[in-house]
Formats: sequence, structure tokens, C-alpha cells
Amino acid sequence: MSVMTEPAARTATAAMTKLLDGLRALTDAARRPDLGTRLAQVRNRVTDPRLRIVLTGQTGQGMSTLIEAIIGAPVNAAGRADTPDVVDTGAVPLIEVDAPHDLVAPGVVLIDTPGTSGMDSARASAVLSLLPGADAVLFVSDASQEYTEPEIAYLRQIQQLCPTVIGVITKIDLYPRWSDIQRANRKHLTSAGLDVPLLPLSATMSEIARRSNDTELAVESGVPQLVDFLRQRVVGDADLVLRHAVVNDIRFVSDHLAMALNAELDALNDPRNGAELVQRLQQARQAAEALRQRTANWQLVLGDGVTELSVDVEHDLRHRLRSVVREAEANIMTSDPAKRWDEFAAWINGRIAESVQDNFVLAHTRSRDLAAKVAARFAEEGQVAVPQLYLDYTGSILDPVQPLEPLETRKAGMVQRVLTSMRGSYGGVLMVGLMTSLAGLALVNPWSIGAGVLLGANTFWEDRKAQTARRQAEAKAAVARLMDDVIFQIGKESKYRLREAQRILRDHFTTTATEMLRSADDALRAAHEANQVHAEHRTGRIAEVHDCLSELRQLRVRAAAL
Amino acid sequence: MSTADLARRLIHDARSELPTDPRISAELAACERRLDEPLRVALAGTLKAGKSTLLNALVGEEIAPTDATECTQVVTWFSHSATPRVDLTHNGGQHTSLPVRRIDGRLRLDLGPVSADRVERLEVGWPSALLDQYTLIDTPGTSSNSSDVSARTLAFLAPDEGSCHADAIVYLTRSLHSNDVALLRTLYEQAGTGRGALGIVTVLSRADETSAGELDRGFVPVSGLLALRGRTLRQREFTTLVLLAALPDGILEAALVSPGRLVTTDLPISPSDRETLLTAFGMVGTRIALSLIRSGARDAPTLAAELVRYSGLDQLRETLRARFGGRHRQLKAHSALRTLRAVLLRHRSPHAVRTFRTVDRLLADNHCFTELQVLAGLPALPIPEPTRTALDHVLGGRGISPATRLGLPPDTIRSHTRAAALHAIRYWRDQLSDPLLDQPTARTYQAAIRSCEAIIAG
Repeated sequence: MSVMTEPAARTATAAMTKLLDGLRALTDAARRPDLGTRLAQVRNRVTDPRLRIVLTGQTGQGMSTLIEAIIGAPVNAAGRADTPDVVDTGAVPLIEVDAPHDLVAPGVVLIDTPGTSGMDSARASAVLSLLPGADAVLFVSDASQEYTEPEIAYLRQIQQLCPTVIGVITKIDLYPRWSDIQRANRKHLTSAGLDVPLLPLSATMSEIARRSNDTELAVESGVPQLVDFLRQRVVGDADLVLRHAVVNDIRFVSDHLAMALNAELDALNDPRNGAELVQRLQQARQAAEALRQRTANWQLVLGDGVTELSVDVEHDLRHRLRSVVREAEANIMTSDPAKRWDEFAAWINGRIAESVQDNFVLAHTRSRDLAAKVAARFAEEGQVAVPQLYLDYTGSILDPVQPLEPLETRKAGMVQRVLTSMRGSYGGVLMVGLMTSLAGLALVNPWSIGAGVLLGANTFWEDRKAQTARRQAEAKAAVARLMDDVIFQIGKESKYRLREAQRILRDHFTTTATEMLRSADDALRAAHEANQVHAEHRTGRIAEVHDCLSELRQLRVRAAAL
Repeated sequence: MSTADLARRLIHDARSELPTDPRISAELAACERRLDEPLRVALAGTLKAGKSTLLNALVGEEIAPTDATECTQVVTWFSHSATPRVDLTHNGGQHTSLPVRRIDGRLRLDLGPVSADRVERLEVGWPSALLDQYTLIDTPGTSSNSSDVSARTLAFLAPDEGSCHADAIVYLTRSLHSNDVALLRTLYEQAGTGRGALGIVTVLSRADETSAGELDRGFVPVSGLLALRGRTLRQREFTTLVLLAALPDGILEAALVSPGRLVTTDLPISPSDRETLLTAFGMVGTRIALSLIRSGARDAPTLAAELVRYSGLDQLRETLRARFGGRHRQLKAHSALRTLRAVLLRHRSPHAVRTFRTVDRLLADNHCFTELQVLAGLPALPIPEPTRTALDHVLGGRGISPATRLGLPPDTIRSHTRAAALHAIRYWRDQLSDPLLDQPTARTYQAAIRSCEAIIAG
């Protein structure tokens, strides 16, 4: 992919890779492959900064046109095929576009999602599952009307999942009073307590401006402003996070390398002071060893935290599904469920998807909190980065759940009903007929026929009521079975995810502890070796170690300048 | 005896059967009055669907306030009156008359110190031929962020108790979002339980802005704004439009790129005129008006007529006339009966049991209502096009005379009509025998058969 890079961004990237390569050489010289792996990982992140920007909104708000406007011109100018890759992820047909031009940034992925307002709500929850991994979300709504109540509710959900949300107001070329709409939207956002920047723009105007090379019109269209905003806020923010990570890692690795070098230097400079130095290093070694132990404090915090979390998450899921069941049962009792079973199934599937989504969002935020807590425990030894956790992708996890079973919708045949009511009327005729026959009337007389009709009708209605009640009971049982299945599958999935989170956290901190132990060992060995060095080699070695240390210091200074 | 007469007699019966109480007799009088009043048509839809604009277009004057943002706050009744007046009923029961203020041809409805939630009813009386036929009810948009505003509309259209005050509903939607579907479903359910309005016509509103296509399932596309501009076209607007249309293509295209450019580009037309035009027509409206002028609308009356034709307003009026106009007696009778039933339920009396049953029977057994119900559901059925149109005709969607229903010339003699009706019955029975029919479609065919039988019996 021929990526055009912004000059400033390119130099920054180049500076970072240079620093990392320099440090890598020193690590290799010190024979520390463990620290080398760490550097290789961060170098990968620097050279491939992929950003995911998700576009979402109700249908017909001009989302696809907006994507074209953002990636528009340079794509065609460079003679590239501009057919987007369509990534089919089952329920949500996504259009994923690698935006490859200088307007945005290298390697930004724009994700166009289908409109959320269509007929089924399951779509919306599938789009939601894309958001936690996104760096920014563009919420698209056109200037023909202000935000509606469902839109504000949706915005609120979005903001919980992805902190960087931008409200885009499209089609300002069609609505002279778009600024009134923008004001109204701002008012709605303020009263909902949402902090979302609003950017009005017109894709059509930007398209015309591009064709006629009209820069003034391009500015009027608002698209360059959006791109600027994306570059400064989203790309800039991501860049800042990346630099922090790089600086942190450089500091961490150089600290570890310097530890051995400093120990060696001390031993070389002052061989008589050896015992004290060794004692200090032994203490550092013990501390690192203790951190690696299963009984370390952070291990306990992690273990307890995961247990607590899994109980909470399961309880939350059960609680949510229970309220769905209650709603469903109330719904079933309102009328004969057989008549509207399909509609009911769609509704309950939507509700379940929603609950599962909410549950996973909870698991995600709580796991992040836990990671921070463990890091705080661990961090008595210095700065420790928290590993990235993604737990809330629910795209296909409902797939193995059996769908709601069909309900016996056929009504009892007319023959069946007639027979039932005949049976009722037969009893009536016989009863009253027998009684009236005592009064000298025939068995079949107007009275007994009347009683027969009455009892027949009664049986008929009773039968109908019983049938409805039976179907309602069947419907409830079907819902209960479905819920059982959902809890079984989701519970399994959710436990697996939490395990995964636990494993990621444990591995991360254990690796860090091992690195610390290894550094302490190295330092001890270096100090020990320094004591054996001959007097004539001593000055030469001191100069070498000094060089190494000053190089490390320089690296650190240059890293801090980033 | 027609349903209306039956209803009148039942109200009379109820009056003698219920205990004498000024409250009851007032309620019964209101019931009876309803039989003589014009048909009540409510305009409903989500916010900014164009309800007030369409109302103005129907009346031909700007009497319902409109704005770029949410504007209608309370349910407002527009009825016929010899002189303009605005009456406000507080929820405490007292009445006030508000001053009738018109600014620039638009009626200003200023509630003054009264807050919207204290208003029981806002009624505008206006001299207009259309309001003589229909009482129009403008409702605030649903899905609003001010939930109390949406709640007022829902309380009006689908009240928790009692029945809806409107006889028919014109539902406006722009793209049939899920909340539209939910509200429409509620309305149909209300109609099904006999508590809601029977006639529901769904309109694709602001049709000039939307490319219809996917939604073209029997919805009537209407652009309220174009229709309103057509009916209230001013000479000054027309002159500005003609001057714009006379500009060379390149310059005009450049000016039409954005609203800002249209006003600020250096053109031999005063910017204030351009701004007025833009406020009135909007970008899309201006473009359409210009293309109409370029394709031959030479004078203001022609342009006005062309705008109205383009807007689809006539089609909507025709639908309203065909659906509700011919049946207005039955619709009103149904409303009156519904209200009567509510009154009888509230003041239970052992003497009125028979009347109550008759009311129930009339409400349940009336083919006219079945026809309206299936007509309202017709666009949603999976039926191929020629059959759908034929059903629309036979169920009286285009007019209720036997000849219109059967698609015969108006002067067809009776024996021919009967023969055609018999033929039609056979055809629809044949359709009904398909074992794979879903229930709503089968119900529609049955209603069609019943309509043909009514023609033969009639």
C-alpha cells in the first residue's frame, strides 16, 4: 500500500524508530533477548499505527456519501481502484475502507455501518459491538431535523463505549437553516449531559469543490474541517498515547540495562566496597523474586478481583435476562401468543442481544478497572503499563443459541370444536330432558334443547379459553428454555473471556517481574565479575561502561524530548 | 335506516334510560353534536415530519406555526368559523380568547403566560372551505426530546382510557424508522379494539427531499412545502424566480451550490429578495420552482398550479375524499357510538343494558369499518400490483359507488352491475382458495367478497 505520510508525522515516526533501534543494539550487546522482544513489539506499533473510525447513524442520513467525500479526490487522482472492501461479518454487512491518503492519516480504517433504524433492532446492537475497538465514532445525522429522542439515547450508548464521539450534521447544502438545527442539537446534547462536538458539512459541496478546484467552496463544505478535526483530535490523541508508550518502554528498558552497568561501574571504581553493593543488589533481587511468586500481593489482588468480577458479571446477566423474562411473560399474558409469535420472537431476540451487549460492556469496564488496580499494586517498583484488553465483542456469540421454538399456531379444527361443544350440549339435553321427563314431557323438548345450547356454548368458550391458556403456558415454557440456553452459552463465553483477561494480566506482570529479576541477576554477576578484573584492564573497562551509560542517558533524554 | 340515524336513536334512548343528571346530558349532547360536526382528521407523525406545513397547504393559508426546529407544542384544533378566532381551554376548565395576530401572512399562536402543559385544548377558528368539510387537528411530533410534548400527542392519539377524539388520521413519515412502525402499530391496534380512529392514511412527507424508491408501497408522496408555496405564491417571489431562471446556466449552477452562495453571489437581484425566496422555498423548493419555470411556467398562476401539481397535494386530497369523504357519515356515527359506549360504561344503569348491547353490536358488525381497516392495511400486504389496485377499488378506496368499486362506467345499468359483482365474487373466492394465503390477505379477500355481496344486495 503506497501510503502518503504527513511530513511531520513521518519525521516523528522516524525519530522513534531510530531511538528504538539504537536501544535494541545496546540490548543485544547486553545479551538481554527478553528486553529485545519488548522493544520489537513497541516498534511494530510505531510503524503500523492503524486507527479505526466508525461511522454510524440512522438510515438515509448520507453516511456513504460522507465516506466518499472524506476519501474522495486523492484516491481517484492517484489512479487507485476505489472500490471499498466489503467485509461481511454475518449480521452486519460492513463496508470497511482503508483511507489511504494524506487528508486523514496513514492507515486509518473508516468503517461504514448500515443504518441503525431499520426494521430490526438487532442490527443496532451489532453495530454497537464494533465501537469499543474504535478510536473515534462519527455520528451522522442530516440537517433536515434536530436530534430525536432515539438518536440521543443511541448517542448516550455510543459515548459509553467510545469516548471520542463526533456529531456530524450532513446535507447543509440543502437546508438554509442548518445553523438553527445545529443550535437545537447543541441544546439537546447539553440537556442530556453529552459532550459531543458538532461539525456541519456537505458532501455534495465538497464534491463540486473538488471538481472545480474551488478551495473557498471546499472550506464552506466543512469536510476539510472534519478532516482537520480528525487529524488533530483523533490521530493526534492516538499519536500521543503511542509516544507515551514508546517513552515508557525506552525508560523501562534503559533502566534495566543501566542497573547492571551501574553495578559493574561501582565495583570497578571501588572494589573494597563490594560487600555493601552485593547486599543492595541481593535486596533488589529478593524484591523481584517476591513479585514473581504466586503469593505476591498483585497476584492476590488479581485472583480475588477475577473471582469477584465473574460473580458480578454473571449476576448482572441473570438480572438483566430475568427482567426480559418478566417483560416477555407480561407480554404473553396480554393475548393469544400464537397469532403474533414471529413478531414476539423478533422482539425477544432484540431484547436478549441488548442485554448481552450491556453485560459485556460491564465486563469490559470492570476488567479495565481491575487491570488498573493490579498495576497500582505492582507499581511499587516503578511505572508499569497496563495491557490493552478487548472483551466486549459480541458479534457472533449468540449464534450457538437455539432460536425460539415455533409455537403450535394451528387453531383446533372446526370439527374438533363442534365435537367438544356437542359433547357439552349432549350432557345438557340429557340432564334437563330427564328432569322434565318426570313432568311428563318428552326427553327432547324445548327446555332440554335450550339447556343443551347453553351448555354447548359454555363448553365451546371454555375450550377456547383453555386453548389460549395452554398456548400461553407453552409460550412461557419456550421463553424459559430459550433463556436457559442463552445463560448457558453466554455464561460459558463470559467465563472464557474473563479467564483470558486474567491470563493476559498475569502474563504481563509476570513477564515484567521476570525481567526485573533477570536485571538484578545481571547486575550481581556484573559486580562479581568486576571484582575479578585485573588492575591494568580496569581503566579500559571503566571507560567502556561510561560510554554505554552515557549513550543510554542520551537515548533517555532524546526519548523525553518526544 | 343508516348507521347515523341508528346512532341518533340510541343516543335518544340512552337519554331516557340513564338517570337525569346535567353532566350525563351534557355528555350525550356532545355525542349527538358529533354526528353533525365535520369529520375530524388528525395529522400525526414524528417531529419535523411536516405536519403543520401540510396542514397549511391543505387550508391554503399559514395558520399553523412552522419553524426549522420543533415548533408545535400542543394539540391544536382547526375548525370552521365565520371570523378568525383563537380559543384556549385551560386544564382547570376556564376559557380564554387569544388575540388573532398575523405577521406577514402567518398566524402567530402565542399562549402568553400559560405554559403548554396547562392547556387542555387550543382551538383555531378560521373561515375556509376545507375546514367546513373537515376539522383538522395538528399534533406535536412524537420521538421528541421533550418527552412531555410527545406524551401529549400519544395521550391524544392513543389514550389510556376512553377513545381517540379523531375520526381519521393522516400519518406522515419521512422514511419509516422503527419508531414510526411502533407508533403505527399502536394506532392500528387501537383501531382494532374499536377505540381508535378507523381511517389511517400513511403519507410519505417532505417527498421533494427524499428519493422515494424503496418506500413506494402505496404511500401517498406529498411535499407540503411546495404545495403551500404554490397555494400562496406571491408576485415578488415569482419575479425573483423568473430573474434567477433567466441567468446563464453556469452562473445559476454556481449560485445554487449552497444556501450561502445563493444569497451572497453577485447577481442582478437584490440579496434580500433572494433571502426571502430561500426562507420560503428552501433549496430543494427553489430548484424545483426554477426547473418548472424553465420548462414553461410563464406566469405566476401557471407556476402556482404546477407547484401544487408537482407536490402531490391533489392526490392526497383525492385519497382523503375517496376514503373519508364518502364515508363521513359512517365514520362520525362510529365515533359517536364509541363515545356513547364510554358514557354508558361510566354511568352503568340496569335500564340501559339493551342500548349498550345494541351499541356494541353496531360497533362490531359494520362492514364499512372492516373496509376501512383492511384498506388501511392494504399497502403492507404481499400482493402483486394489479390485484392491489383492484382490491383498492372494490373495497371503496377510490369512491364508494358500486360502479367505481367494480371499475365500470358511472351510467352502467343495474343488471350489468349485478352481473359484474357476481363475477367479482367468483374471482375473489377463487383467490381465497389459495391454501398458502396469510391471514391478513385472506381477511382482505373476504372483505372484498362481502363488499361485492353488498352491491348485489344494495
